[in-house]
Amino acid sequence: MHSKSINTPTLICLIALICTNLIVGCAAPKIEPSTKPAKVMIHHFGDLSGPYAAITASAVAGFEDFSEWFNAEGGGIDGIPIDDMFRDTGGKLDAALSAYAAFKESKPYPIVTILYGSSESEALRERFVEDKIFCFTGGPSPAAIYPPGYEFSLVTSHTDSIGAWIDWVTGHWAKKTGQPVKLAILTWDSAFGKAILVPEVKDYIKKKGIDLVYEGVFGVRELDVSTQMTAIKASGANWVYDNTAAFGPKVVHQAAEAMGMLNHDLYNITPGLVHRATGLVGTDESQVNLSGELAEGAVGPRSYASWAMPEVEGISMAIAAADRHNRDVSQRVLSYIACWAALYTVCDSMNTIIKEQGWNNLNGEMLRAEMLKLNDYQPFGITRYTFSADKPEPRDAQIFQVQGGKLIPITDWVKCPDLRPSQYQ
Amino acid sequence: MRPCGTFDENYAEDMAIVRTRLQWILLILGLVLLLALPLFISGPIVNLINLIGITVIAVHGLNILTGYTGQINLGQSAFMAVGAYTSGLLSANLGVPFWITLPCAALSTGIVGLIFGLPSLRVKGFYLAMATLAAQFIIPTLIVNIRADITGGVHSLVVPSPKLGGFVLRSSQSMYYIIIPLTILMTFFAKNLARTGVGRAFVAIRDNDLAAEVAGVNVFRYKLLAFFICSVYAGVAGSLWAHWVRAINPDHFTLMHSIWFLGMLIVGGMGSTVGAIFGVVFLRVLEEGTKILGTNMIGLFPTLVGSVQAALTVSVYGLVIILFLIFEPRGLAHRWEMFKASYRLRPFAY
Amino acid sequence: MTELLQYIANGFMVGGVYALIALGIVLIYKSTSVFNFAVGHMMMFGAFFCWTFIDAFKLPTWLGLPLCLIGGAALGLLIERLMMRPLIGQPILSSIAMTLVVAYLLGGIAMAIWGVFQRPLPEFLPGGTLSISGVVFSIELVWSFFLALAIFGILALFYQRTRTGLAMRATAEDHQVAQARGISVRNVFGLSWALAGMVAVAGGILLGYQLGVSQYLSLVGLRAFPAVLLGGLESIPGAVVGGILVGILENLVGGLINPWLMDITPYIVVLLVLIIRPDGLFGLKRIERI
Repeated sequence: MHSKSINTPTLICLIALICTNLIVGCAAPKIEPSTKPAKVMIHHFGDLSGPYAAITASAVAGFEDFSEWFNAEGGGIDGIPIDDMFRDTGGKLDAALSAYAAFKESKPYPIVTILYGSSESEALRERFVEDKIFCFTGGPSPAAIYPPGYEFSLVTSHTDSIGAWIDWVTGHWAKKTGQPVKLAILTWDSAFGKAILVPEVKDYIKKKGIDLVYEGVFGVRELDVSTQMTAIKASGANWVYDNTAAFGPKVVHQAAEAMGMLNHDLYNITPGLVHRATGLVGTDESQVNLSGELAEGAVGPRSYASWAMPEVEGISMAIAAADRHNRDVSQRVLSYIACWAALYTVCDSMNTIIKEQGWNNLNGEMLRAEMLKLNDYQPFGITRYTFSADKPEPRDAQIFQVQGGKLIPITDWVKCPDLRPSQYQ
Repeated sequence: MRPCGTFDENYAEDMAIVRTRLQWILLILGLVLLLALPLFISGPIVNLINLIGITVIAVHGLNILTGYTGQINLGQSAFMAVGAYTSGLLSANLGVPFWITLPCAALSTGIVGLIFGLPSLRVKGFYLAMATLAAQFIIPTLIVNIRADITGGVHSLVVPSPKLGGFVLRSSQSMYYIIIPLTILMTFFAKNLARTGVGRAFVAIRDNDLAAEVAGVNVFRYKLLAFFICSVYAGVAGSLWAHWVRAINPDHFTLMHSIWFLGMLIVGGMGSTVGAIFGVVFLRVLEEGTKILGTNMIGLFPTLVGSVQAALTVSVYGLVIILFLIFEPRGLAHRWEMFKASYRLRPFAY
Repeated sequence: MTELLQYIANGFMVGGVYALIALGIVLIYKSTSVFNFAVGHMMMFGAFFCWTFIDAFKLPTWLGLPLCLIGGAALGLLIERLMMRPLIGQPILSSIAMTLVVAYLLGGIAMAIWGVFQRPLPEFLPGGTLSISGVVFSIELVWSFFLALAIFGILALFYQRTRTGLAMRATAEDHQVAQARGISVRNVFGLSWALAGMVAVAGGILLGYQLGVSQYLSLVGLRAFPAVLLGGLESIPGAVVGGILVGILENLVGGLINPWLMDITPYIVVLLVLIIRPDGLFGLKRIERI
């Protein structure tokens, strides 16, 4: 009555079933061709609850405002409106993976997505290549972009950006003030922050005759860096560069101010005082708003026009759209503009493909090929996109300075030096 | 509560996990269904089940340490990190195949767990929890900063997919067939552990460690063993995670994740193998549900674009665990036992 | 040499805040034997309250600050009544898990009410810096250090000189005996949580002032746990000494050796304390008898 063992026929069936399933499981998924849909869905996901939440939130706002404008006045994709689907990953990678799995199953078969975080970009890189889905990412880390695949960067890389700043500080500032540059790098202890602490950048610093006197990090959630600032003071630096975002620059400004070291005047040379520079993502309206007066005089590289430049066509369009939707000051930032530019570029490329080759040929592979053709492409003057098969990142930027709480460009558009990871140069 | 009419004729029957023919049939049917699932369900759900499988392994380990032995472990996620990075580093840098890196990861994590279990010689209860909390912070920081050139430091470490002969197993379905059988195996080990002498020693330590010592149980040795087993489970879970996600980062292994694991154990019912599974499934499904709810809310209230969904997930999760702690501290497993008792006793009341 | 003194000075300043947080933990532990993991989040709530009352509702400082303290007391009481009260008599894991989850929940509620953006607190302490033989002190930090000490003094007086304080010390010694003497242990629990809430809010305001109000203030709370263990879980002077020592140690290691070690120094201290002297410097020695 109480049989305790599995009988043989059942065991054989079980094993047969497992084997069949393993073989089925190893087969690759099929890709469906796309037909003219009722709406073109563009998916995007990012983190709305971690340190980069403000960036993601503004980008999402920019996406919505852009879709509205594009569908109403921009003509849509061959007349078809675009729509967006956003998923919050909450900073957890398994959420990003499940968002990707759901997105892959959506109909019609997706061809493009926008990402905002570097850890998601890194994790999903291989999957984009396998599934041939084009991705434009605002979180460009070298592990995500290289070797060049289906992920393109929205912004100049962190290394190229600091390269542009180095060119400016040695070519312009050092010459004008006659002072040697003594650089202290104090940045976030994260992939994003440490992206500039690589050999390519340090070699370039040495090559340009800058003395790197201090290198330090602080935790992303760390709010007090007085210890590091003390060491910086002891090192005799006259510039402090950080590669952080949102409140990161403020933390550094504050520590410098608390020790009486902060110098707001670009051409004033007082020993013991430091000038401040921030990386690409930190040269952003939100940082300026958070830091208030502390940020006055700080400089930084940036590859998009700022909200204080209404003479640029794209900026005035963005201002009009933001006013229409009552976007408040915290959402009128870099990521909003970047989203507009990126989306317009993607939609324009999609329109080109459809015009030249029809809807049936609209897929991720063709989109990538079309994007590779972009050379000094300027969507409404906001930015300049130049991509190539060995470097799917933009290469042009300007140096901005905080003046009166606004970001004003102090140079014209310059080409950043190529500071890619050396094995890809 | 036993099924009605069963009686034992020898010791083996007394200790059996599966007693009646009906139970055997249900078990085999259930396993067959589980293994055949990817054939007829969609991708995102397979993905979810993969995630549940990995979490179940980690929480089984936590159950053995916290549920059976009574030692609070706030560092399970950090131990997972050790497993993930061991497996990842061996595969990525040395090209060792997955089938070897898995046991290596399990072993190395076990050893790390042993090291952090050493304070159990001197302290217990809450103080030991602080030691595991220390582990939770120290391990990820060390991963980031020591030899960042090989671990990738703060950048993600890219891990290759497992290979079986000529096949590269990279889709959700393929990974399902690695993760789920392993989960089933580890669940069986955990369930079996409870009925062995080792398991009884663990429970004795939890209930009263002084009495256990007096009764002849070498408390320190068994506590270390519990830490070892818990960490081995965490190592296996970590290794699977590394090969499934294929780009690991210390950000995946934070204190919040450890608290989540503890929460899943509490909701499911501590000291119960099936409770661990219940807790994980319940909370993961809840998480997916709040995500979908949050996505829809963003659609309805576009001006509320902010952290509504994240706040919702966190609040709902926290509230659920608090409610379980107050009203049902023995968890879902206890409810399940009550339910089984009700239908087994029918038509009698008790 | 100046750097060394600067690090020590920074350590004192930041240690003062750790000590305040540690005090919040000790207060509750002394009466209820529960370790409050949620203290960091209660602190964060304090900072948010301060911002809400003074910045959003534009109340004057002399009204806003006391309101924050009352809010803190209310928060503490609410947590005690709703969440800790049902757990009396349950094993220790339940209460540890409960405070951990309460911390998590408070984080979620804060995110829901105030969102993720970071904001500065308005200035109500004098600013500027003070330089003593090359060592720079920020005046705001000096103020917060002395305010923390003042709070200690008040609490010490309260415990030593008032009847309620005496009742709380009695409850901390032995619940049964205190009840036998007619002290309402339930009320004492409520009172300790309310006091801890106020202390946490005060700490939160000071910290929010220094660092700006954001959800990451709660993580500073985690730094205080080692301080409590070092000083001893039942000792109020231990909390002060532990906090300052941890602050100084952190700064010295971070400045002299490497900044990345700053995060884990407190935890290495925890491990050392647990191995060498688990009861802390001033804690009560635990002796088990069969």
